[in-house]
Formats: sequence, structure tokens, C-alpha cells
Amino acid sequence: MSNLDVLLLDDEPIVGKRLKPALAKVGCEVEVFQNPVEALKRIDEKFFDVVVTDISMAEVDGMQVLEHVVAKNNATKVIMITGFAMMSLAREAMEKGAFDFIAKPFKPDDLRAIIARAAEALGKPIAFEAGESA
Amino acid sequence: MASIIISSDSSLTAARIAEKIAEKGGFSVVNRDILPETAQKYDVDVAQLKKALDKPAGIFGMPAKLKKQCMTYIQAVALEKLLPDNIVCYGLGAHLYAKGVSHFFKVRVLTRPEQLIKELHPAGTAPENKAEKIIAKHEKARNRWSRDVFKQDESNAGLYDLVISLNQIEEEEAVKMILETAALRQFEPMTYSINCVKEFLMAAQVKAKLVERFPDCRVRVDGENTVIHIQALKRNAKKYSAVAKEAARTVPGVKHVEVHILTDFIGQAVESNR
Repeated sequence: MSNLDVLLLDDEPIVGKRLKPALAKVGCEVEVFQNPVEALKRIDEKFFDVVVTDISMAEVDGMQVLEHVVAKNNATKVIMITGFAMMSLAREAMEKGAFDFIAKPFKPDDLRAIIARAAEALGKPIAFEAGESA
Repeated sequence: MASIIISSDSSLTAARIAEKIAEKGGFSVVNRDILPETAQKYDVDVAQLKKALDKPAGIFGMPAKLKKQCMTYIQAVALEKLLPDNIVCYGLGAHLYAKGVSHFFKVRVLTRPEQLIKELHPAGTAPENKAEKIIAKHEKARNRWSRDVFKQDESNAGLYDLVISLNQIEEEEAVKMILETAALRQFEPMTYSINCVKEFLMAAQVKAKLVERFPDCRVRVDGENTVIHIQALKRNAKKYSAVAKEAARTVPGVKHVEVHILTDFIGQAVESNR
């Protein structure tokens, strides 16, 4: 079973701090960014299997990150996370090519379940069973 | 895949379109076949549930309180059936309570007037001036029905993702159009939209436990929080709050319950004048 390369982008440091170890537990190599500009630069340098991005951020928002990732390589699965979820935003994200969309707050297991589905779709399954500790 | 919710000014048209969608698109159907199960689960008559779905409340119609109860029970069972995706639903008023779910593709189909007259008028036809009146009366009754419980006008196009008039479009074409649009990526289920359905379902199940005693209660589920609003006199606030909390906690999955008491000013005024 190979590792899954994940880029995690959220301008709130606590999100990356909490989720990085939670995703590492299921075999993800996680790079955490708080600055979307730096994240986009890294996306241009390296292929990530999964990009997890917040939507509401200063300078560059999550939708722009999604568009950038899809334009670069649409094999990457983009998961949108937001504290301001609403139907129109969710539909816009899916239309632009997001793999999934989840409202904050969520449990690490919720994100791990989505990442496990993304890994499955990429043909790189990870070992995950719901209920694993955070 | 998306789930499709069909609403129409004609129940027969809604049924025909939905059945064709199910057949051509491989969708499962959710319709009034759920009423016997609903009746059994909540100990009401199927006839009352049907009446709640068809008739506005009123002095000569169904009592408003009973209608609210019946619609709450229907809502709770219908949402349970709408949990999986790939469903086509009609005849249950779901377009009025399954709101804000991105993978629910809501369609309003407007029937040809002559078709509607066939359904509404015993003779099957009517002179033009009479036909207009029959249709207007029917529309008025439907609007009253949708405003009764849901405080919405179901003929408002803003409630739907797509409105199709069968005046110039054949039913087969309409079905094709609906299936093609429902296949768009924006209507695909996602974690957020699935969680929305789960929250609506839990809220409806909690409300079903409360509605007989508190017909005007409002229930919202947000993550692990269940928020209940109840109207009551100040002196009953503590007692009603405890009753509502206890009832809500009998619903599987309910964790934290908040009860907000809204002062019943009319009742309060009546009481202070005694």
C-alpha cells in the first residue's frame, strides 16, 4: 500500500495542526499550508493525490485553488472544507470539479472517510475503518 | 447520483413523469406508497394522511393542528426514504421541506390546461370561461395548502431548479431534459448534502415526537445540537422544556438538546386579564 500525498490548506493554524496527525495515521504524507499563495506554488512544483482546501481565505479563495488544481491536473482529488456551507457554494464547488465538500466543524474520521474514498478512486487504497481514534 | 423531486399542478402528471424518470434513469420511486407505513408508525389513519396532503386546513376541512401532525409524520418517513440517493419522489410535498440539499434536483412540471381540466372536472371538458375558473380555483386551493403548513407558495418558481411547461413540450422530451440536467455534477451527492438530509430527518423525527403536544414547535438539527423552539406561558416554561428534552432524546442519534421557550403573548394576555 503506497502513501497518499495530501496538501492541506487552511488559514486557521489549528486545522492543520489537528488534521495532519489524524491523516498521517491512515498513511497520508501531509503538507500543511496556511497561505494559499504558497500552497499554489507548491501545487505547481509537485503532484498531490489529494488537496484539502478551506474556501474562505484572504488573497486567494478555495474556489480559485480548486480551479488551479483542476486546470493543472484533474487527477488530483480536491476536497473543499468550509465553515460557511450553503447549497449554492456546494453546487458551485462540485460543478468546478471538487471531489467532495464538507462543512466545518467535522470530526477527523469524517475527513478520513472522504480521503479513503478519494484514495480508492485513485487506485491507491488506504487502510481506514470508521471509528479509528483521532 | 442526484435525487429528483417532482412537483406539479397535476398529481397525475407528476406521477407519470416520475414513473418515466424511474424507468429510463434507473431511479427508485418514493411516493404515497409510504403512507401505510407512516400511518402504522405514528398511529394515524392513512385517509387522514392523504387528506393532509391534498386539502387545505379550514373550518370545513381538516383541523390545522391535525394537518400539521400528519404532515410532520409524512415528512419524517419521506426524508428517511430520501436518505439514499438516486430516488425520484412525488406526491409527498417534499419540494416544500427538502430545501437546501444540493443533490435534491427539484422540478416543477406544469400540465396542459386541457389535461388539468380532464382531471379536475367530472365531465372531463368544460367551456373555456368555466375551465379558467376551475383551474384558478384549483391553483388557489393548492396555494392555500402549501401556505398552511410550510408558509410557502408552491407555485413560486424560485423553489425549483427547473420548471417545465408541457404546453409546448412532450412528456418524453421533458423526461429527457430532467434526466440530462439531473446528471450534471452540481447535483451529485456530497458529504455536506448527505449530512443536510440526515439533519433534516433527525429534526423531523424529533418534531414528530413533539407535534401532538406542541403543534407550533420548530426543530433544527445542527451537527450534534438539536434546537427546539416552543411557544408557552412563562409559568410552563420549565415544565415544557423538560418534556420536550425528554421526548427529543428518545430519537436515536440525538445528543445535545437545547429548548428555547418563546413567550406565548396571547395566552399570557388572556391569563393576566382573568
